[in-house]
Amino acid sequence: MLKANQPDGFDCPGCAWGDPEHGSSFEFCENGVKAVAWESTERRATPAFFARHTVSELRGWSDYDLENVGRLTHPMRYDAATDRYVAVDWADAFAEIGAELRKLNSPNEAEFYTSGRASNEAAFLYQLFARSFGTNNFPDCSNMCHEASGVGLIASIGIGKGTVLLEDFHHADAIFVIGQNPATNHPRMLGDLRKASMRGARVAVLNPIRERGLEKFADPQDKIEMLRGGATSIATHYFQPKLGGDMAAIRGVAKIVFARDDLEKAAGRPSLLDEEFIARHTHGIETWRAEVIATPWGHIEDQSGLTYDEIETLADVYLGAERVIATWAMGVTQHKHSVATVREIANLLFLRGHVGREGAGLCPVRGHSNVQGDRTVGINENAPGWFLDNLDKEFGIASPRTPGHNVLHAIHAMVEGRSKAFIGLGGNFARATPDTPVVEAALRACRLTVQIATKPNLGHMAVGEVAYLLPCLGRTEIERNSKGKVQIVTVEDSMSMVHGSGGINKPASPHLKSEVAIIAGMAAEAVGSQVIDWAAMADDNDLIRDRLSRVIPGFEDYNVRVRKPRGFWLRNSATEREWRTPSGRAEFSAAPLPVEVEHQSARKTEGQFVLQTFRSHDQYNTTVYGLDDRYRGVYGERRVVFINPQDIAAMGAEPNARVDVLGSSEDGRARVAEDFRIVAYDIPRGCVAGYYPELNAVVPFNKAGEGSDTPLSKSTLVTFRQRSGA
Amino acid sequence: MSEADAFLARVEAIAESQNLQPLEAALVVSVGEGVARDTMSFGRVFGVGHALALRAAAALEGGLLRATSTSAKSRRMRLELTEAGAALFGGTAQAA
Repeated sequence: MLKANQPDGFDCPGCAWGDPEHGSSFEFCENGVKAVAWESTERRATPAFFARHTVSELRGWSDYDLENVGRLTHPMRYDAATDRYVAVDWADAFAEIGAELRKLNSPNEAEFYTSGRASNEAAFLYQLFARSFGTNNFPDCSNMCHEASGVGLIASIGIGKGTVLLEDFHHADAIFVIGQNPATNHPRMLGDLRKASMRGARVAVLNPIRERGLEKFADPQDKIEMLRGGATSIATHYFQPKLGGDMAAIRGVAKIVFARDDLEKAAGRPSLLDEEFIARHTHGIETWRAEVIATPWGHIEDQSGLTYDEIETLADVYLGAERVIATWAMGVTQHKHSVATVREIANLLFLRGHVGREGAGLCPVRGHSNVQGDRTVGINENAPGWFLDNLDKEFGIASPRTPGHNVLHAIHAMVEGRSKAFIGLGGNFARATPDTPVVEAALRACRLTVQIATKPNLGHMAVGEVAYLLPCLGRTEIERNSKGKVQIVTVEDSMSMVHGSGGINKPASPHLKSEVAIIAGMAAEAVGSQVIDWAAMADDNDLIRDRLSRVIPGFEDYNVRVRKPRGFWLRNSATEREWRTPSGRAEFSAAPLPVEVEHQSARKTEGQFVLQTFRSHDQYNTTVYGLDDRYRGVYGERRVVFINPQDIAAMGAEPNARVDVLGSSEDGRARVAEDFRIVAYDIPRGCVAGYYPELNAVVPFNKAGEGSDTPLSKSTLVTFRQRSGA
Repeated sequence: MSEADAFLARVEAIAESQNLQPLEAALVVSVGEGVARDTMSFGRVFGVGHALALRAAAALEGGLLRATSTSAKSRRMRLELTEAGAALFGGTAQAA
């Protein structure tokens, strides 16, 4: 009876991994518990707190300390005279924000940033607000993470999303985990990898860093295992390519597959390739094959950082499997050649028909819980024509057709003074983006900054001339509309499942509004309510979903289907082998390997390394839950840099010495992140690693992935300066 | 009538009389009868997600139930009946 009558589910505000038991996943995952606890804190950032501290003072606090102040309780406006945030009425806030937006010379002077935490309803209303206002400027957190996956997959399979469902992991014989550390970033994925490993599937990991949590995993649900202190091996094969070496590694695998296939056919045996799939469903194999054959082994080994034998083992895993899944994350997507790498992974899977059938497929694993959904519902600076046409028809507006700004475009526009207003729907733009001091200065130069948030963060201290900090309900909190009806929101996970989610806790303050209500309040003042009844939509998420369902195919009967257990699946054309590419087929990419990647160019200069930034275990994106990183043996600190012991010796340094990290200054900007402790670690020579956001200060904003504009957060050239007395 | 049937009958009765969701009523009865006095145990006993037990507790807090403590790590809420809640059990439930 209880199960049959459970109300709407609850979607963990943490990662975007699929959820087999919708409504209960958060307690199964260390990170999920942290995310819920973080939002449910008893601490409060009240007006009294802001009265005690100037914004200039708070700017000197750490990310951890500032967010640890607790939940925002009141809408706040920055008062330049006292350099403090002071409480303000919601109505006054909306009125001034609307007035400031209307005063801009052009709607394109405003940037509408979205965090992946925003629900489908909030994101849909937000894009409607911006487009009815007159701009397509949608810098989005996905621009900094999986943009290369979207771009690459659209070119290869005609849709920018992964092709696997959670159930496919139950049937795969081999799973390639590339440039990804699920132990810290998607812990629930480890459970599925563990099950696969236990039933005999091979799990081949490519990760420059030896991640202990990815090698072995103690399932929190297996109490006996936990009590015994035991753990199951996750990775059956673990390889450590150099940073940016994944494409070369995959190319090497393909080179061996082609060579072995030639031998089989020469011996009169059947092809190792899925020739029927290739002939019927793909285009361009011959060009790619020629490119692969022409790529010398010396180039492949040097660029990948793997030996021929290691790559041959990977090929054995690939050829030994009937069903192969490839997953990847930021280790693949935050390089200059990320789009080409994503496409190389797709190429490899095409060879044996591993797309569009059970137990096989492509799986970019998204970070924040609704980063994929936000894009689906229109957070896209260059949305397809059909979407804009449908939106215009449904709402009676004329959406702009000129492409808008992504994150890097937005930073450039603000730096150059072309954009004068920034609205942040969640997130921490200034700390998530490269070149932190540059971005903070750009925000401070804006006429208007509006930050919608649950807690204060350092980004909120980069205040524009007119600045608001607007507190919203978190996803864990129960939302009721004006009639007392409980509201749910919806999100889309990495497997394109759309779930409903209702809150589970009382709101942190009676003054909080939902993100939807805040967006509607600003929109009503900025563009008026003559054409769009913002207040009505703000009061009923069902109404937003009804209208969204008439704009975006796949959301039919949205309000009914999203209330079913596990929600519903958004159809993915590629899983049915329908290829929405210009050729109507899956497209092999024939991109050459880069002549050199950063680790190869770094070694030309003594003392130069390639840096990757990543999260600690006590961290989710820019949110720092604590100061430990237990899998890597770091406790109570974050200013560390992981370096190969031989490189430490070659530098003439000692482990635990303190150094400053220096980024590229070829554009005349000095990039320095000060005072980091050297930690000797199992990482390839020439490659180093450390945490963001602290190290974002050395990641240049004017270098980006080709075709994706993704910051090069996994391939930044750095040198070290030993600190005096260290 | 089995013990389980009797429990469910009391849940139904309280759900109806107090205008509660079945899960909320089950939580009240569980606390009142000592079956489970915290959200995590309730979830385990009845096979429902902890999140949903927390939601039920949040809905009832200050009405029929009150939280005596909440774990900062797991969010487990330890619960007891308020006076209004205790009245449903003859005012003696907390001693059980």
